[in-house]
Amino acid sequence: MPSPAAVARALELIGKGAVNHAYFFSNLESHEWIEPLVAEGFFRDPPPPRESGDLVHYPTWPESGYLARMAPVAPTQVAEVIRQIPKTDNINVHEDLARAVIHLPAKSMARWAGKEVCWVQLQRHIQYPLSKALGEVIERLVSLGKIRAAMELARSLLTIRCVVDSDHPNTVTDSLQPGGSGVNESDSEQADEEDPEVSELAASVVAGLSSRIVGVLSSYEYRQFVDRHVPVLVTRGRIRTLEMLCDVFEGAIASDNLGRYDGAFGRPAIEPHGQNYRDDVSDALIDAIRDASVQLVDAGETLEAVVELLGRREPPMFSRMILHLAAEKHARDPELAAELAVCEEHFLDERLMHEYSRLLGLVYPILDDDKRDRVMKWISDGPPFDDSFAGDDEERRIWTIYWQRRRLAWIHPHLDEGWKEQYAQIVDEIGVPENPDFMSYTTTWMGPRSPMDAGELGSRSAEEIARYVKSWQPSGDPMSPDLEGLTRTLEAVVAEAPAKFLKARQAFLEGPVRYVGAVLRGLSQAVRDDVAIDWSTTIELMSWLSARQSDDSELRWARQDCIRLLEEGLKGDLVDIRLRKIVWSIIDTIADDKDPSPEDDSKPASDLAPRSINTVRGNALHAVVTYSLWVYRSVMGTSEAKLGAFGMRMIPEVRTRLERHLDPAIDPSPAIRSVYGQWFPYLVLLDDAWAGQHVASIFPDNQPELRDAAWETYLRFCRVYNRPFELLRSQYREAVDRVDETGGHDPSTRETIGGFLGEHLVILAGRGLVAWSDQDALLKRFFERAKPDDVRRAIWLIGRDLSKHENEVSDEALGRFQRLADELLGLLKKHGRERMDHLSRLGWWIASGRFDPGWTLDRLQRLLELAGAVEPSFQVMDCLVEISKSNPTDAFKVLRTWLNTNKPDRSVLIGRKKSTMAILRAALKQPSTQDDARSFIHQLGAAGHLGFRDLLTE
Amino acid sequence: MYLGGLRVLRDTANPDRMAQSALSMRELMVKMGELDPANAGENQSTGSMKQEVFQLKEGFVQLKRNTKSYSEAGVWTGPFNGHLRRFLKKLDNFFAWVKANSPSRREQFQRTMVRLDPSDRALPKPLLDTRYREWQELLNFFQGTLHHGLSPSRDEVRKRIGELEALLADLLVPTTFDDLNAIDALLQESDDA
Repeated sequence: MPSPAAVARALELIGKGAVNHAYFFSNLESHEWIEPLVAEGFFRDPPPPRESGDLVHYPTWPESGYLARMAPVAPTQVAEVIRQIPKTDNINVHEDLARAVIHLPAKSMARWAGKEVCWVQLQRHIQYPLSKALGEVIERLVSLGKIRAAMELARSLLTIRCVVDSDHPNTVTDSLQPGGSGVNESDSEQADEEDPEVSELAASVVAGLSSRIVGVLSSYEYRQFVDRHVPVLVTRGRIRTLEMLCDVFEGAIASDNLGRYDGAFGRPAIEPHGQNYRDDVSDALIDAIRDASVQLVDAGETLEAVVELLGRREPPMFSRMILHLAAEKHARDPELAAELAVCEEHFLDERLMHEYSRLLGLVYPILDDDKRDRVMKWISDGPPFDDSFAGDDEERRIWTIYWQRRRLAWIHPHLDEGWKEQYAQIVDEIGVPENPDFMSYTTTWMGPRSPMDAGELGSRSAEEIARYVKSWQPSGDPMSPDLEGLTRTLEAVVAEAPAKFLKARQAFLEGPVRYVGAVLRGLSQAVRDDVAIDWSTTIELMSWLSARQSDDSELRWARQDCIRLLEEGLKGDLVDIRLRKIVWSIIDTIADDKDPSPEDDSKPASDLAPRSINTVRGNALHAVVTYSLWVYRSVMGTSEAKLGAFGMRMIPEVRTRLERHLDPAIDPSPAIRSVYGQWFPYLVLLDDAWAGQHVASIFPDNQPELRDAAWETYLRFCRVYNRPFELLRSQYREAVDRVDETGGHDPSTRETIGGFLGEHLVILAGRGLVAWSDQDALLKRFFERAKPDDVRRAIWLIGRDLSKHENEVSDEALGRFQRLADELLGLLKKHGRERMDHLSRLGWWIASGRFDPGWTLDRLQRLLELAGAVEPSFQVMDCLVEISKSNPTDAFKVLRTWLNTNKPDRSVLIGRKKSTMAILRAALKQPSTQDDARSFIHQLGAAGHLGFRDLLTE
Repeated sequence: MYLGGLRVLRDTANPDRMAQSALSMRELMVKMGELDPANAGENQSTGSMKQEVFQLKEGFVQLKRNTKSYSEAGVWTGPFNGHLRRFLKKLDNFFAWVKANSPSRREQFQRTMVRLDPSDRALPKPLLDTRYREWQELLNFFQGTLHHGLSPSRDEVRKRIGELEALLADLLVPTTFDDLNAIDALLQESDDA
């Protein structure tokens, strides 16, 4: 027993801070302290859970941890202390106590378990490791013969119930309750009383919701629990355990007041089976009941006793369980098994079909003649028809043979010759039954499917293939080969041997146009695979296709395939420039296609760019630019081009086409307008003057929808070029004016238009094309007005590039970024961290390693003081470690500011513990910072970071 | 405040130096409590006590006007109806508000201790009670002195300021690892004994 002086000293030390308290109890290994500590009032104040937003934090309680460690050596003493611990909802304390009580005397443990049952019943979730600890308590109780206590604790953990899905918030029903938030409070007394209409409405709303079965354990933990602990309970608790499990299952069904869950249908097969697609807590419970039943029979219980127990329960699941058990253990009591199999009620109840058919199939061979005759008579009599059957005699006959086929299939190998013949006749008429033991059967398949695989199709001549695809028709049956499957196979075959198909192209032109599209797609694939194709012939095929006129969607798809293939050829300069005229005529014809229609354009505007490449006219407009660049490249080789004379005058057909679609009266489609934005820098390249003259019509101020279509696509898709920026400066200005408005975003990356604008501006700032002090203040206004995420992105993009030291960045550009960083720090100071905390990302620039260490430390210090945080913490820490080698004093000061100003970052920094230690170690060696560093290390300790202790003794 | 309190204590020419020094220390202790926003009233999102009571009174007047359970003769009778139910809920909310916004001195002290503890955790109740007793004794001492209810000697005042310094130093300038070394030594001694 420690002396009173030692206890007083301990109290003095642990009273200094929570970390001291935790350290003391975590290192206390003598049970002799229990008594004096109890006398001082310890072990009576478990810390409650702490809510923080949506999260609940459960503090550890060092005192309960100590009790758990002392329980094996001082069980009686610990039992008495635990008895007096007040109720708590802290799951960590429950876990400690569960670990403690398994060492206590049986009576104490059972008493604790009784209290724990009450607590568990009030919980929504119990998770690992508490679930594991409670499972161990159950096993220990069983081993000490405290079966009832073990059973009740198990019951509390296994109890499950049906709930309305939480995805549908309770506010739906709450709002319909009288006096709830959705009903206006009325001054009249009428509003007070229960309104039956409101209740009915609430019920109907609820009925529209989905429900599910939940327990305090998750599905995974429930499964683990039953697999591990229920067999132990059955060993000693025997039939009572099965009773308890059945009670739990019945309780779950009773909780389903909406009647949506039914144990009979919720589970296709009682035995483990591929059809049991669900794996929730009720599945685990059904398995537990099934396995416990079998275990009991194996352990000597009679089949009759177990069947009798299950038979007292009403839900059909228990009847299925009986039939399953009888099938599994029919050798133990063949008579009972036969009785269950030759039961007309079971035979006719389709809810029991799976288990019944299995039992009947197993016991039929051992049935006596009388029983067999009874079964065959039921089959012979056919299904019971009631008055609701409205079919004629033939329909009744068909229904009957389907019904008989299924039942005969259950016992087919054991039928006598007469019945075998009858079964064969039925099969001849309606086929062999699939899965006759299931009322419904779930299956999956991968589609689409082709009637012929690529190998077989490719082995034929192109003409034969053309004839085959022209004549083949799908059956229309589900999961059978279809047109899409055949088309895809044809496409793959063409990609393998394009020449063969080009040669026989005429044969395909005579068939459905979908197969011409497949040939074109196959040719595209061949081009991508670097297989040479005859472009002259290909373009002839395309020309034929482009000339066809129809509103047929198949033709529309084929035209898109045509344009895409043509673009492949033009981009790769694979097409001879002498084919220019015919190439243009294909593009020009298809560019008048009606797709996209005004209906397409009425869809949300966030997907304009994808829409432009998924429409015929959009694709054609893309091809117009691709064509222009193809011509440009071919002309660049001529002396005329070297004189810099290329322009729209060299491609007048293009000018006409582009200007035509800029007229909103002719083409009002935003998707088409987005093509101009996407290609704007190239239009500048093709003809600077033309592009400059058409800025106002490409980005029309008076038509915001078209303007935004072109502008947003420009920002998203185009790299930043100087000359286009000069032409578009006023558009940038207006975009900055609108940057705080809700804007569109890239549907694939969720990046916003404001983010792309920021990216453009910071790149231009690095090039010196925009500056903070410019008259139009593009940068300043952007950073003041843009949404935080857009600013974060812009800063991060530059920071990422600066951090990659293989990237060459000129000294002038670095100077510009330093000046911009200073301006942003000024902005942070002016507006405060509440509004500008996103500027903490400036750490990306400052700690990029590109700048002078003095500047870096100074700005980091300033950023931390102003923002209270810095990102990215790991990179900043690495930078500090590097600088601490030459400037340990200031690096330590920055580190201290960082850790003192920002609690959340502290855990991240401890993730860089070695780096933190390196900076502290360096500071401890400096006379000027030695004392501060020591004090700071103590402070880290007080915050619970004990890993720095050794630094003080190094 | 702290430095002012020490300087005035040194000023032997000042006949009221004990009370004035005690005033500085008392103010320091009170301001410490305001480090926690809840103690400083910053979390009072729903307004003042006056406002809350006014709203409650309005609700009560409305209840009497609308419910059938209250007669003009001023008698409460009849069923437990929706108006009454809603008012009782308001009453419940009011008392929750009072509890959240009017912490006792002990609660204020505990909140401050948690806020100042770098680990963000609370000491257990027996230790907090001890600390609170120490704190309250010091507060009573400085309060009594500044109001001239006590007439302590200069040494007595200096001793009490020293105790206050030690209490604050544990929170603001911890010597954690020295403490842990001391705990290790204590446990070792105990084991050896």
